Amino acid sequence: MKPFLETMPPVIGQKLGVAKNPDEEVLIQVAADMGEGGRFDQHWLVVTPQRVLFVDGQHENGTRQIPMDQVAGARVEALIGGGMLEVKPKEGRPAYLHYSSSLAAKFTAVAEGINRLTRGEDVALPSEVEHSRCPKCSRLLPEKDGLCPACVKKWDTLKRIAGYLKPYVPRTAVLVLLTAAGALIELLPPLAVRSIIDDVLTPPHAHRDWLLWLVFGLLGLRVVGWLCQVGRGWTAVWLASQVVASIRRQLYQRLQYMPLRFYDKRRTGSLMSRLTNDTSRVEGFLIDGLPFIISNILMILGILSFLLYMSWRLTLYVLVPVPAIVLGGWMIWERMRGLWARWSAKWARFSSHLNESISGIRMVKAFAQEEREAQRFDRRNDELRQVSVLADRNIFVFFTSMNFLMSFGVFFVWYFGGRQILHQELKLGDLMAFVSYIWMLYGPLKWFGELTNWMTRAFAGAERVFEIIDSSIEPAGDPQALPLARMEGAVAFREVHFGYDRAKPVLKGVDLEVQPGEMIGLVGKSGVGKSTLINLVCRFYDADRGAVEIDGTDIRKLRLEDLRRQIGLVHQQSFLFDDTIIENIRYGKPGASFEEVVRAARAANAHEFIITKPDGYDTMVGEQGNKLSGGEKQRIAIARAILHDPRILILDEATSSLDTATEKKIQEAIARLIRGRTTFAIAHRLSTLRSANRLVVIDEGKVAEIGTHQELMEREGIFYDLVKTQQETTAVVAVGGGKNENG
Amino acid sequence: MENTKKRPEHVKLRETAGPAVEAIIQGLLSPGEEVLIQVCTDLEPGGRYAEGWVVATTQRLLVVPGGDGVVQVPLGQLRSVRTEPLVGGGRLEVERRDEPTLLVPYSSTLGAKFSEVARGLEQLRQEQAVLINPNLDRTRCAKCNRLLPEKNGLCPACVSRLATLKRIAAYLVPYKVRVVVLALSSIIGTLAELAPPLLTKRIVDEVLTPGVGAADLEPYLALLSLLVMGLIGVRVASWIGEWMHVWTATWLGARVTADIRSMLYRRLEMLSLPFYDKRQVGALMSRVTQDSGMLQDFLVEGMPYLILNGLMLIGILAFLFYMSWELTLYILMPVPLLLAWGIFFWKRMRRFFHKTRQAWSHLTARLHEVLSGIRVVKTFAQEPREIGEFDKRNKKLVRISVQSERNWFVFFATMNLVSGVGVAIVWYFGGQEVLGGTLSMGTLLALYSYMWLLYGPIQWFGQVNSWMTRAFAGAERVFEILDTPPEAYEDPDAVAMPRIEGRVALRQVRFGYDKSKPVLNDLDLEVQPGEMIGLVGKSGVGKTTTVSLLARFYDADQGTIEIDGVDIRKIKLNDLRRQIGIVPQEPFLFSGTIAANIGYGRPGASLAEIMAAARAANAHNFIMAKPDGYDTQVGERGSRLSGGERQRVAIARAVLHNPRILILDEATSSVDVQTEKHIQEALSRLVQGRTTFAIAHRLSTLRNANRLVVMEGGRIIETGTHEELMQKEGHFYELVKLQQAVAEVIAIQE
Repeated sequence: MKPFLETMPPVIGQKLGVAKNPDEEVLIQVAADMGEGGRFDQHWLVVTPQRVLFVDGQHENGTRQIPMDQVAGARVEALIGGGMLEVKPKEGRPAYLHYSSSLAAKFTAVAEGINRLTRGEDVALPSEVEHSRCPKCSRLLPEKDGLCPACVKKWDTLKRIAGYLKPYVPRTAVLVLLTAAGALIELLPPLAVRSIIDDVLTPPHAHRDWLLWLVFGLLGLRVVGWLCQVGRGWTAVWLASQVVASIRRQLYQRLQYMPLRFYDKRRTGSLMSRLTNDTSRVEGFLIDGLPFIISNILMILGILSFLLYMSWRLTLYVLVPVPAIVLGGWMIWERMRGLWARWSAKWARFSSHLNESISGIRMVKAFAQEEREAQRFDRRNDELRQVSVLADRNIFVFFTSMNFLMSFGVFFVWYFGGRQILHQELKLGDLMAFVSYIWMLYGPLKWFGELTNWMTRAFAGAERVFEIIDSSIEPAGDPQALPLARMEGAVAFREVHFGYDRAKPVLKGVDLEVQPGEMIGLVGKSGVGKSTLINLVCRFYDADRGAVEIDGTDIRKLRLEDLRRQIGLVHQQSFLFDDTIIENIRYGKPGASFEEVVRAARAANAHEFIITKPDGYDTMVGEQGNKLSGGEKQRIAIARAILHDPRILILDEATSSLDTATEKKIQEAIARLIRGRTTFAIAHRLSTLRSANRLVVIDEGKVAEIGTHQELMEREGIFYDLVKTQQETTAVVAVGGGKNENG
Repeated sequence: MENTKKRPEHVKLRETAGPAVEAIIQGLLSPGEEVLIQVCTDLEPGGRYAEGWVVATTQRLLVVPGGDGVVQVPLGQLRSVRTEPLVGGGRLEVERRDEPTLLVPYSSTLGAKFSEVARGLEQLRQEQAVLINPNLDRTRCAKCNRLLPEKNGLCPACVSRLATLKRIAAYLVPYKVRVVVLALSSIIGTLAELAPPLLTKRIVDEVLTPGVGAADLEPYLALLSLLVMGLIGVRVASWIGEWMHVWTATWLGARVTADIRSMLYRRLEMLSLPFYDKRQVGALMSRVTQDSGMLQDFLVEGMPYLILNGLMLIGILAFLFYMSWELTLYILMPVPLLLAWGIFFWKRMRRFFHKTRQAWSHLTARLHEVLSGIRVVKTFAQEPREIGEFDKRNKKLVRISVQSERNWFVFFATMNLVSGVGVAIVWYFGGQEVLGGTLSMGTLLALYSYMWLLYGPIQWFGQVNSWMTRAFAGAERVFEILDTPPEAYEDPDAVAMPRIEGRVALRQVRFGYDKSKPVLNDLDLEVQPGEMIGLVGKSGVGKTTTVSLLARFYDADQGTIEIDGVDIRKIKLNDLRRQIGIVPQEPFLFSGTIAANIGYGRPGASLAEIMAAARAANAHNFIMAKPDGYDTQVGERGSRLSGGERQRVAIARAVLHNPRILILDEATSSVDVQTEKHIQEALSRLVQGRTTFAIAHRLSTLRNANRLVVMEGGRIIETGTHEELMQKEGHFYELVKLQQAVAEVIAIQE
């Protein structure tokens, strides 16, 4: 899908053909949906390398052009409910295009593209625009670029879920049999009762000796029914959990191999809920929902047959409330969906305020704002209460009304059935059977309404899961990939361009050659691209243009596992798993012996603090390592990296904000770690980079300066400025006293 | 100067022993000898369970082991006392001068206790006062000895139902009228439910049975119409009753819950920080959300059903007995079975719930971790390993949930079966009676209807126990907080202090988050108004603690803190907090606009004032560069701003707050050099004219302070200006040298 090349209606196409040359390449062709005065209208914007055209859908002479070299600039301005694109020529009136907010993201990209063209650059449009509305039905999506729950094709999803049952055909057959049998058995007791009433109890007591047998029959039916129910439950539960376990496993596997880009766009919470809530919903549906549908359909058919057989006239009376019940059921769930969405929103507001004010209680107290927060709380509390009451009342009213309607069916039966009995057209036993069957009929009818709701949620859940399973994973399994058993460690960047969002490049042509074993210090303002460079080396992302080479080979051609295995990373915020210290260190080299681990820990200056802990190497580090102090965590991460023994090492802002004694230990550890490996280090503290072989200063997405610390200082360029600023910073506070000291 | 400190008294730890042991101990004491520690142990040296006692007095140590024979050790004979952890427990090792070491074993549940005991004994040995923490975390309920779900929490089994019920009911008092309506509707509803079978009985007995094939159907038809009208009428009445009930119950439930939540929240806010330190945010939140939600469920669904089902049960039994007491007895036969089955089942299910919940959280915890740390997984190429780990947990979860779900099916199916048996019984014996003419058909049918009405409430009562337990436990947790005393906001004796000069004095302040482990020992400091004091020292030495005391987040254990000569405990808390400002290292911003955050300390500040504060904080420029300017949303905790931007917003907030006393806690680090420059400029403007306490690791930033205060071991060991301290070549000098050395370590190889 090319979001920036939309299909024009022929009328517009004609006007366009008149306005431009046929062989001009059309770069952008989009429709804005609002006209002047705020009405919905269609205005088209067409951009070619030579000019910008505005084509009006309504008026005859509505085409305006501005040659590209006459364009001073384009910008967007946010307005209420939408926005406006302004293209300003160097002379003359600007041209405007109005659009509603759903197109805001798109037109922002368009404006940037036009600006790039005016500078003679490539238009570089993003390949995707975030969707906040479903492209098919235009409803608001629950997550940006997410699934539209209304457009989910239920049948396809059902088939896919059923696909997971393939390995278990015999059990599935047993399940279906038991469900059907169970349903049919439910239908028989009223017949037995009917017989008891008519044949035994009603004078002239024709078959009074049948009583015992009929009662045994009743009991027997109950027992068989019990067996069916238990058997059904037994099988259904087992099957459902197998299916769901398979789905979960597949999902998790997929997730593990997804590229980092995928993770950047999503929050951990939403991924978790795919694995937990969504799969649970599917499981619930399979255990209860599906058998429920089958057995109830069978029951309804069976009941209707019996009723019609006994008295078709009475049956008609019985069916009178049915349409009302079904309709009511359907309507209420539609309404409830809206109410529940409102409730969720209010709840989210309520609980996020709660969370915030309790987490930040120190701030609240520090500013003595308790009363104000309490008032805020009260407001949200009250809003929540109101929606709560509304929702609960709606549901209850629905149920009571449904019950009421259903009871009318029973009244009809008593009245009209009674008359029939009096006219000897019907027997008492039939009547009682009728009453029993009615209750069996109306019950499921109520729930069919809820079923749609349930099914929708379960299927939406399934779809969210499948969405991920279907996504493309990291290119790990490329059979063509070259193995690389042992890296030398020569790294080269050749004209590398890259941006997390293609339209906003961070690196704009980086060229760099690093020898094996060199230590490179990456320097520059924050946000300039240092971490990005590193991400490319690890191949967490692929360059948009240009190539990163290791030992002379483009890393895209190397086997990913070989690559990752020989690159090591130490972050500022070291991430540890909630496990023992020794397991965390071992993460770098699973299967390492205890001696190897201890050696690594010693080299990292970690051994000394580990053995002072009561459990030593078996100490649990807590979630994200929170039972250890910052300095301890870092040293464990360093030990992990040492054990990993990579050929290329990356240190990302690994030392800051600790007390000086610990920092000294860490710096020693790092010094040991670095020996003999190609190292890329990022740090703010320029003094720490003094031992780097070369410093690389990044500015404006390119390598601005390279050299040793001395060379760069002598050059008095960007690096020199950065150093001076840091020194000034440490001196600023001494403005009163004034000594200048190297710090 | 004379040492006028009073030696603190001993903290005692005494458990009560049985009379026999008490007698032995008392018998051994000499007059004037006081028992300081008396604790029991549960293992004897051979490793078997036995009760033994360890008693420390002012003169000696007594060990009364599980066997017999008392070992006495005069305090002077002690060389050292410590604990040694072992598998499944530990051992108290008492080294004596002239004799072999005494070993006292205990199981791991007593581990924490014996750590304290060892500490106390060491203190005694060194002739210090015993200063231990007698309030150990409770992990078991004091009454029934079951494991508590949370440390120091409530025991759900020991919650007094009646007391809790009365308390919950108290919240309904303001809504008396609605409660009465609720009660009325329940009664109407119940009666209306009970009437129909009586009417159908009459239809069968008086219309259908005699009227079949009668010559004149008119009177019968008329009666039929009448009775059916009666049915409809009763149903309408019942419907009205239901409406009344639902309308009122939903409103009432939501209202009472909202009331409780509001009270809870206000109380939570007023509680002191030590309360917060002991608990996690999540636990507190769940009090306000889950626990009060459980209360709502109880009030809206639980209690009404309790009443309704109770009334129904009584009504039905009454009618049944009236119609045929013999058949009623038959009907009641399965009832004990149903009840027993219900109780047995719920006990089983509770275990399954627990196991399932554990398996789930085992799975999701690791899941959450791995997804958050996916970078690390990929860095070390450990995907296959994580998948394997997941499989294990997944399989376990499946196993447990299958067991659990299967149980449900068995339960319900069996319930149906048992009810079915009851039905069969009625048909048989009732049928006999009808055949024998002692019972009318209509009555039998009515019995049949009532029977179905009966089994419902009975099943419900089977599960009400477990469900009530949960609801009440939730209620009790809520009350626990409501009963905790708040910070001393409304102390009527407090002195108002609308304008603080800023003279601060700490006099012999001693404080510890845990009273027995003081962080600050004898802190003495006097600060003039407008001075800037720099607090220096290794991490953990007490700098943050000192400033927390200044803001009166905690009260000193000993000694006083004075502001303008007045003990801060006597100053109105509101006045105090209003005039103290804090800029923490990790500034906490509330989700809202930048302007709202800057104005947090002064609601009602004008935009001009906000902008002036932002300018002073060097924040104005970056704020204006944003498309929404001051209306930019900062996101949760300010996550949409960068670190440097957040800090400057926090500084602007403090500027606008305009406090007399300012606390800067490690406010600059880990931003890039230029931003740091901006921040430091902003700070230098901020500190003008205010008494300031600044904590920073970067010693160079403190060069502007009037005085530096160097702390070590909870005491102040050096004070003076930067120059003075450097010349002294003492502790401060060493710290500075160390920092410079750190900056040079990487250059070792040069």
